[in-house]
Amino acid sequence: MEHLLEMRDVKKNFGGVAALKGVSLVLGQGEVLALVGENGAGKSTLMKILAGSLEASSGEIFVNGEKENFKSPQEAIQKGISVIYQELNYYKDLSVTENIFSGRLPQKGLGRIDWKKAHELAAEALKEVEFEIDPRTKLHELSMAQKQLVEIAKAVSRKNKIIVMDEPTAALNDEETKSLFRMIRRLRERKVSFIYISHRLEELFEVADRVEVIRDGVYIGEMDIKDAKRDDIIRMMVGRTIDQLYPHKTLEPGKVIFEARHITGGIVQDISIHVRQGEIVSLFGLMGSGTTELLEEIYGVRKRDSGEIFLEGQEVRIRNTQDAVKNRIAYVPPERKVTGLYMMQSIKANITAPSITELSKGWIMDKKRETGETARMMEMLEIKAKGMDAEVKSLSGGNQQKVLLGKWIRMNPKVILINEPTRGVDVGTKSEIYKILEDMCAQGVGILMISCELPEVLALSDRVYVMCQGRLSGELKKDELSQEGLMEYAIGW
Amino acid sequence: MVNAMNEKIKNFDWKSPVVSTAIAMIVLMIVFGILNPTFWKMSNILTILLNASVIGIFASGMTMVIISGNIDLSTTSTAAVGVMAFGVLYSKGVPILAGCVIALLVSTLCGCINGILVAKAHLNSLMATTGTQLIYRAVAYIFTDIKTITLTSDKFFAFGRMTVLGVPISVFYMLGVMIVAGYILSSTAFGRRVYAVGGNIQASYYSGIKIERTQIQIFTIMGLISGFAGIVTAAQSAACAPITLTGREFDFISPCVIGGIAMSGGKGRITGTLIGCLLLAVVSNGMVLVGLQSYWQSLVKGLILIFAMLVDTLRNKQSLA
Repeated sequence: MEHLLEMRDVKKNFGGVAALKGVSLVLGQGEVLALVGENGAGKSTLMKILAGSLEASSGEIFVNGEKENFKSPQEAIQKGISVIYQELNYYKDLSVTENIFSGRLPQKGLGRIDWKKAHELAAEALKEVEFEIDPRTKLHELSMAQKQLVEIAKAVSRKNKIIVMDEPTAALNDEETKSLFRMIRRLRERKVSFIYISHRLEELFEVADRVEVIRDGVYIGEMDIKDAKRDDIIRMMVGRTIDQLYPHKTLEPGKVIFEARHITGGIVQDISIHVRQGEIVSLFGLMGSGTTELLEEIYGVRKRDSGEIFLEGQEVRIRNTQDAVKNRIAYVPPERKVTGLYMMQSIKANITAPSITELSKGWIMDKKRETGETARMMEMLEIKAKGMDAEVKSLSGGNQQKVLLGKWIRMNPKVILINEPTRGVDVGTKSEIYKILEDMCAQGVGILMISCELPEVLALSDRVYVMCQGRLSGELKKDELSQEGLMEYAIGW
Repeated sequence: MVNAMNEKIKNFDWKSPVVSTAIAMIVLMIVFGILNPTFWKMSNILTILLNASVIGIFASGMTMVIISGNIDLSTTSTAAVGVMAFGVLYSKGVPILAGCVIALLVSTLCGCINGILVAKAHLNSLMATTGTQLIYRAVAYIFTDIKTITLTSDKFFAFGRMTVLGVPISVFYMLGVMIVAGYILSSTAFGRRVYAVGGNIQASYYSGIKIERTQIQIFTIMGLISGFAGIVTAAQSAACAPITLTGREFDFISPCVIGGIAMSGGKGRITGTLIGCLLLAVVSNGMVLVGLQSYWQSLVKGLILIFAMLVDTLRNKQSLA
């Protein structure tokens, strides 16, 4: 039987890291295929390959039985593939018409744009998705759901037959979600096919025909939605065994060292949490659940509307990052190259950055202590480099991550807020980092962690707070932890 | 001791822009010397140093500003405002020393305003200081009713024109300012923050560094240095003219760039700036001695600047891979 789309044994390596280790997928005409997997399972990479914005390392793609090798997004679009990303791409100050026809507005002589025709065509495309609006409206006047409809209208106007939607409902309310589903069903009747990516499993049962699960860049299985059970899907998403990567923590947590009460701001709604000395507490949630926002509101990077923070039982005022550092709260951010490190500067400059005031006598830097402290951190964290004057960009990802940790451990924190402790580092460094975190615990530091790697959360955490859409949906102790349990709370069932 | 020296030599970055600029300068000096032997005369060498001096004073402050990831185009106007404040006070009979102090304060205030615009109002420093450049210059004219004030004090002349051991005093001013600026950058907590803010402003915020305060301090120091350079200029020329230094803003940026101060911020040393200043002074002087018109100078200086930036870009590109 010939499929509209087939991806066969697609592999993708980034440097030495295999993001996709062989994933296959078929899509029939007028079918809605749900693609599910944990964060980092490889869904996005696979879809980027389909969209032509990434090139596969190996594997084949067939569209209508013809072998394709997309070199650019334009080529994929020409073959009828539209990808609607979670972060929509649109021109906010341009009209609906201009967004739908960006780069291909109808013209009349002398390169003039035929606006009358353009608006007519736009109105036609909008009608197909049953969205009644003046095509002259500017995009910034529309709601998220409406912008999404414009994006779909764009795909329809190109006569694209394959539409990929990545977390389309993340920013929609219930009503908008329902209307999106109605539209998908309608287009499906016109032989448009969808690949639908979502963390909200309950949606799949409403909208999908078939579900495919991938995990760690590998195809795990697929089934008709009629035969699928939620528990099966979750088990397929997370099921794996945990090996000796993680330290065996025996330490009993001490007294409460950190407490945040009624934190509210942005998506975060009235969250109260605490961390004990020597305890690793995780915040777990799917994309858009507000875990990072909560951490950054505690640290003072983001403004919070209300909420108090207590250290060792005393209330502390934290309005910005300076207050946080002064109170010896550390925050290891997830994007080390953007918010973490001075890539062009030395290891020494990086490790001492939060401690400049502490390592100076009056106005003058105490260079001996600077050097001594840097050497101590490099030894303790086993940072491999030519010397402490080596530029951080010359180091491997793992060593960069250690410099980032060293920067914060150096300032003798009482609490470490750590966001993605092991992003983009090899397995060896991972286990070293876990060891470091354990050592910090032994010194009475409290650790509040976010990680999108479930196994990491399960192995390291003494306790896990689960968040769903900005609210606390569950709290699990170490002996209650299970992947399925976390997922259930995270999905909000 | 010997080991430490060896270690230093081994760790010395021979590919650093300071070295390449110094080599370029020496080659040029040899070429100019061959084309016109007067080039190597002591009096000519002193002229070169004198010509480099005021530029060097300004460039010391500019080094700090550029390392912090900013730029200041208002330096010349800032200097002019200070100079005119001094001129007006002088003509009213205020003692010279008091006049100088007030002039420095006025320039410092101008710098501080730049800093507030950049740090608090989050204006792009290039555009903010382009704006204040126009404003300060206008203030300098308004102050004095467009008149040039001639100075007749011998003491003040001496301040700008005397020589020490045969070397013009301005050269010592330049070296003094450079040493202080170099010390601030390399050895103080403030210097560390300058590099941090310029190296990665987001990472600095996440590290709890007071970004706004640091930026204001940097521009304030630039104002103070501009004021000082303005007074030296006035003393050299024995006059306070509102037109002082008009159009020379970029003269203090070029030596920094040539000396390897990265325009993207966070990188560079004051020694680079010093050598950049000397190189440009050598080029100006040598080309006159060789008999080339001033537009040739302009061409060559432009080429050197672009070449220096290309080298900088290529070095950074290489390391991205």
